[in-house]
Amino acid sequence: MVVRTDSPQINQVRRTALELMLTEHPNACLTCHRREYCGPYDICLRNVAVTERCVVCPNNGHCELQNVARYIKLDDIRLPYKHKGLPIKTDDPLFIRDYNLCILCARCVRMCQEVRGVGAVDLAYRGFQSIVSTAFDRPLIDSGCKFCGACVEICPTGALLDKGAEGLTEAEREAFLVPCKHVCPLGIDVPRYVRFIAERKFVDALAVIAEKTPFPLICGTVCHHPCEIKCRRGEVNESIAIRTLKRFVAERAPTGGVRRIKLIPPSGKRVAIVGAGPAGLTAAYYLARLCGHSVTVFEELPEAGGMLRYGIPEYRLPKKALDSEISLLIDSGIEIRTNIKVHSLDELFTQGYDAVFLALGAHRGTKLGVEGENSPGVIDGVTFLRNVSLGKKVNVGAKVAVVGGGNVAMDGARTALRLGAKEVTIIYRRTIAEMPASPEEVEGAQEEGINMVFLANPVRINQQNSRLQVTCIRMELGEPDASGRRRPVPIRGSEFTMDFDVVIAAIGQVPDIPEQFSLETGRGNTLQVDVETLATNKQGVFAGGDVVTGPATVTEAMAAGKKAAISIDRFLGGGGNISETLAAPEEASPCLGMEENFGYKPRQQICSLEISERIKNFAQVELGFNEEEALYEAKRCLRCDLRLQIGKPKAAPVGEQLEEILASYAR
Amino acid sequence: MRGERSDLIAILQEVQSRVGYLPEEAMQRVAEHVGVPESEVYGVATFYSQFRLTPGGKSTIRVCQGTACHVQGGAIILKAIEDELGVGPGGTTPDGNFTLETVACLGACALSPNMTVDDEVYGQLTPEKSLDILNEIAERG
Repeated sequence: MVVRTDSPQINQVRRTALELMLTEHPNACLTCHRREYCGPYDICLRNVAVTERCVVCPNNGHCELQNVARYIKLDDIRLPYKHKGLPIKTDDPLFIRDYNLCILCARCVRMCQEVRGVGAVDLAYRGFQSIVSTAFDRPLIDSGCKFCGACVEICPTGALLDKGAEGLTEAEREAFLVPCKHVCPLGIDVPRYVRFIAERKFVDALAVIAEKTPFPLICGTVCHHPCEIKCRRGEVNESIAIRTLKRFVAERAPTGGVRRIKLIPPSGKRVAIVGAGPAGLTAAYYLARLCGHSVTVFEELPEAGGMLRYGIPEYRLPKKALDSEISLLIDSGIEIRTNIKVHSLDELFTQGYDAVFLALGAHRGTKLGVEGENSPGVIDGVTFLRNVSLGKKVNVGAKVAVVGGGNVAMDGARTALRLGAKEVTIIYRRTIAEMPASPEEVEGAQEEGINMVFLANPVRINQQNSRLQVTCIRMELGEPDASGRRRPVPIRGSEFTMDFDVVIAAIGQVPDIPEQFSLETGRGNTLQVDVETLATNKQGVFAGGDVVTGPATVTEAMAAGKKAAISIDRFLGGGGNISETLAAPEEASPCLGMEENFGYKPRQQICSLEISERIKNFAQVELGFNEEEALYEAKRCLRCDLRLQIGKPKAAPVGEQLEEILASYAR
Repeated sequence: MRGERSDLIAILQEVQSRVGYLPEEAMQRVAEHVGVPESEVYGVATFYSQFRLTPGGKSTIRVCQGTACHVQGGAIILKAIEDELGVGPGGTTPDGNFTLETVACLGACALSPNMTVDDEVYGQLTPEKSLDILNEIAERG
């Protein structure tokens, strides 16, 4: 039997059906012969209003309907252009619904009901009034919508769109739709591990994280979480507490539990890493474990950890957590030699190292540059924090001033309070809105009763008896500077003085690079490297982390460590492959199911120690999630990545492909 | 009634016959009872013209637009009533007295053109006669 699908009758039926479908569709895009040549604001030969032109249609060029129209050869038909004048709904978070472009194919309805099991929308009314609608035309958030975006993914005409995704390429679009994964400096598959947590597969969740970093617990504790800032749930109500979820699994399932021995034959190459901070240790892990090199880490201070140990205070990152993750590294055969300051790179090469990674960090506090700052009692922020971590006796007196608005300033102030200071005052030259510190650190400092004096800057420090008289000048905000923040400008004659016992200057840090290295340095005494390879101007010497970027974040330093590991492995003749698969491959269920008030579910509050308890000692302030809280929070995830499972529609054949098909029929 | 999906229309009819229309809360509860999304209940309720989503007037006028009535001027009757009440089919007068609807056939073709007001059938209408009937009903309260 021969089944023909291209008889004249069938083609006529197709045409009629499509014409019917298009009687109310803005269809200039389908029939205009000029459609490929027009810019949005060119003169339209068909006199179509600018807002209704084919070229401004978000799906123009990749519209399935357009494809079908070409397939059926509707080009010769001049359908009358008629704009339906229906509303375009833009009030809902994340989505735009343009009813004018809807052809009532009801794919979104079937997707929502049958695939996702949500049923937020259905066809309502009938005949010409028919429309895809939520119950009682309520806003999406009140309709049971779970904002998974599957409806947008399968909408053939652009009637459903992602807000803000116009004109993005396929790669950009994916980064836009799953921002948490793409803004992570380490590229951790956030939606996947959050889903595993929701499914109570905690070990698998940890495995997903461990695929991208050897330090899940450190990340889960102190990461600056750009993922949460970009989280799309934040546009619905509040973002997911991703970092705390990560901490939950890292605490719950020990990292060792997912580590699988990957046997790499020893390469016979030796790598020296200078600095045992997040960048150095991360590079060490990947070079030793996944590339087979013999790695020695040199650390000037008594213990490994860098700023993790000597910068971030115990109440934010307990040393126990740090030790547990570092010990796993040592167990895997990485040698960490502490109390050794490397003075000469040439000496390292003489000792037989084939490559060097400099991850020195930025440990030298910037000077205030004011008269009297060398008085006893004035100390820079990083030195102060390091002394505290080293267990040195640090006297803070009763009244402490901290100058600066970054995380070091917050850490310094809160540490001083815990060391017994009665009154701690942060002096910052801009306002709270411009503070570079993480909002939660600023909030933590405020909760603990730390004073903040904004728009003020010290100009002089006088020592009187054993006290420090700090003279400040009032500032006002002027024009934005290179960083985009408004530049503080001193107000003449507005000086005022305050008395303190100790002044902590936390206005920035710069790397401390031994001169004998004779490497190119740039702004802020940072090392100059090739942005792609992290190679310095010296053969075989690479650098990354704060020593290159200036003071940045733990996670960015870890990312630099990974990048360096890739480059160094390639330099040593390897393939630079540091990818690991630790979580079992599986595919998520496409069904989400109904859940009442999903869109309104608030972010799980993270329990903290009572304020009165906190300031007595260095116990960790954030308590993290218990299992119930973690499950609740993980289930709030919008599962933005799920829609990427949906295959692209098989478009109607056009051009040569179509001709071939027709020719094959003729045979 | 059993809470099965196939019972949905019957349940909605029952609710409407008791309440007079389908209030939002009622539809929410029906959705829960039957175990379908609310959007589906809403879709069904808006698809069939027999369901009302707003309260109707005290009396419901149904003007026949069937074939026989059409031939006998049913459209003129409807137009006259529309003009008098100031609402179209599906609408309810602002005073809440009347809801106007159309029907396809009342099965009283011999008396065409017809209309019903609540359960009473009125036949052999003229525009004047139909308006008199409505006035009388309105006065009666």
